[in-house]
Amino acid sequence: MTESQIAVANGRFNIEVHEQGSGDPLFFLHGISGLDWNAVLDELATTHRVIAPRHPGFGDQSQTELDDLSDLVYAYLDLLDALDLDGVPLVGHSLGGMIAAELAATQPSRFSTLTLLAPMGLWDPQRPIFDFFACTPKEMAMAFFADAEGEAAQSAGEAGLSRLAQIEIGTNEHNSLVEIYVERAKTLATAAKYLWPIPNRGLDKRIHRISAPTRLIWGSQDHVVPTSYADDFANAISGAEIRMIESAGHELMLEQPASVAAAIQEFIG
Amino acid sequence: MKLEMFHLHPYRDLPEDFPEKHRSVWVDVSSELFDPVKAHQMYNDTLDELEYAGSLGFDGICVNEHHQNAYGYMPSPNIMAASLARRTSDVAIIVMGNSIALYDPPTRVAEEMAMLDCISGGRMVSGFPTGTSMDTNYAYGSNPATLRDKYAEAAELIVKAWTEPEMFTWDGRFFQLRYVNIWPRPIQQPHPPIWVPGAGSIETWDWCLEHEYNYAYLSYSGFVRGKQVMDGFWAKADELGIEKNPYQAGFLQLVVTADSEQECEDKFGPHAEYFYNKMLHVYPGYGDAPGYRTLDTIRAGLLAQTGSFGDRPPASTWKSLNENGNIVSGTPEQVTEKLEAVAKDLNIGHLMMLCQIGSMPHDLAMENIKRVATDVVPNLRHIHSEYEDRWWPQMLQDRVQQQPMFARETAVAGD
Repeated sequence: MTESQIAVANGRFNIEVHEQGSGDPLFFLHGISGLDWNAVLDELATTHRVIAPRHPGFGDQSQTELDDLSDLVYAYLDLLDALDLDGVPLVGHSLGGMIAAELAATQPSRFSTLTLLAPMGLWDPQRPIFDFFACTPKEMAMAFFADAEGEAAQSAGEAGLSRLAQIEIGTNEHNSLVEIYVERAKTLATAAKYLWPIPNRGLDKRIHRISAPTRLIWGSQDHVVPTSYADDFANAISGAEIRMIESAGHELMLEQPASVAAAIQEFIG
Repeated sequence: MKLEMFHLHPYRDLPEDFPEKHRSVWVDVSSELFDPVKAHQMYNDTLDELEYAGSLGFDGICVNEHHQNAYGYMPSPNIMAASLARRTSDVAIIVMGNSIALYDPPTRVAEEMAMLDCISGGRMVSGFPTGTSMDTNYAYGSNPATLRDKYAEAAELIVKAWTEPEMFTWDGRFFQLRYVNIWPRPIQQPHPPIWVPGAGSIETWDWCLEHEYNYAYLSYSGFVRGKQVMDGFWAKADELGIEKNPYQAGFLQLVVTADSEQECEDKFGPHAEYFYNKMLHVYPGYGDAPGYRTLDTIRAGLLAQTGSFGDRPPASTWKSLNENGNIVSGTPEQVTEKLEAVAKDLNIGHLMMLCQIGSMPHDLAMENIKRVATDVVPNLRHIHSEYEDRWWPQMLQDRVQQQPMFARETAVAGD
């Protein structure tokens, strides 16, 4: 995998881009947990040149050039221009799915296909999306994984942020917990720009513009973005189809990587 | 030094099983627990208590701002301050609210504070809190990712609105105003003193020192933790080469006094335990919205004392609250001695004393306020008298430069 910094916004700042594989390009946008080069991306990289930017601000919390979703969409259009990507398959997960839908609505003809993995962006007050900004680490782990007892959920839940305030400052245990807390701040703090206090920035007013063939892939046990939102997206995007992944929650790429990768590859060819 | 009486205006009648039956005293506290008729009594009791403190010789009286919170249900401190401005004289009114990033346009804050300054005859201190995460992010929906930048812009705009005689245009990142030209303007020139209530964010230290604002550390953790925070503040002052004038710092402390330690425990113990065990019962998920604190503050380990992101603290007892310095209690002599040590040790020139605590009924609050005002306050005034207080309404400076009350009384007694 290679990493590079690509200048956008007329040179005002850079976007960090990770890349692996060869062949036709595929543009991937990560979710609220951050850019984690997971098994799904590995598998996609066997058939495609996978290009995955890190959303500006994820990782250092110091990004002040971007105030809102519109700024971010234009930054990604700059990046696509800089990388000379046109007619490319676009894949986005969670927050990245919301950004992908915005991009596909802004420049409908730019993308050959649109694959949305449990995207955010639509909102029905009767079916609220889980408030991951107001929960304990344990509740977050329970919500993000289908199997709260599974290894992935357990390791996330045991992160131990809860004990931070009670451990003597300066000890090793304290310092390692501080680092975990810092990581949380780096990811969710930037996500807040686009999702706080409600993950709704008006996509429903633009989503009809999406013309790329679209597939929605959802964990059947998603406790963060309820599966019923798959129908909302499918109804709003002409010709969109839905694939449910069994035994998977919002972190479907971590829980069922083989099924998710297969569902993407089958669609984009 | 200056001694001020601080009031949170808590809801005094939460049910016995509140912590077991409800997950939070803040943000999603059930409206079923709120009785507006009882609140009528409590609001008037609170105002009576503050007015009483003002009449008994406290230098200032403080109101503050919280939202969707049963331990402090004064969402608009300006309304309380307006009432106090009419019913008091010769005492500073310290508004520890107006979380300036929440008001759009922030010139509303500039206007209301100017109104209050005119009504009170120039007795206002204007607090500029960032506001807690519970208040600003969860209750008021403000985005934690941009809250601090928005705060800084609001502060700059308010000060300019107070001080710029000509109408001006504001084209900011968060606020755009074509015509800024507030009526009225404050009596105090160039503007009322600005105090910045903090809960331990280290960026706030730089902000206060660079802008010459007062840093008021508001916590319920008492002087033990307070020492850690204030040491950090003064170390930063040293680093920046700024004089460590104690009047640039304020500190909140819970204070009760009676004839004996046993009497204190009997009278105040249950109300203190009510406050710490029921009123600070905050759902940990509301503790710290991501982005509310900067990475530097997290790394410094100075997390909020209430609702910090984690487990709930163990239940407090009267004994533990005294041992940990959450509460200063005892005879007036004992309390005076402890507070003198706090004022010197933390180098603070403004001591805000919370004299009504938790479920403490009105009569007992009045008794405590009177005792503190007459037997403690006069004996602390002389501390830090070698410094100039540049964070205080000018028209009240003469009052506190008078002989301390106890000295006058001693002189009379000796005649």
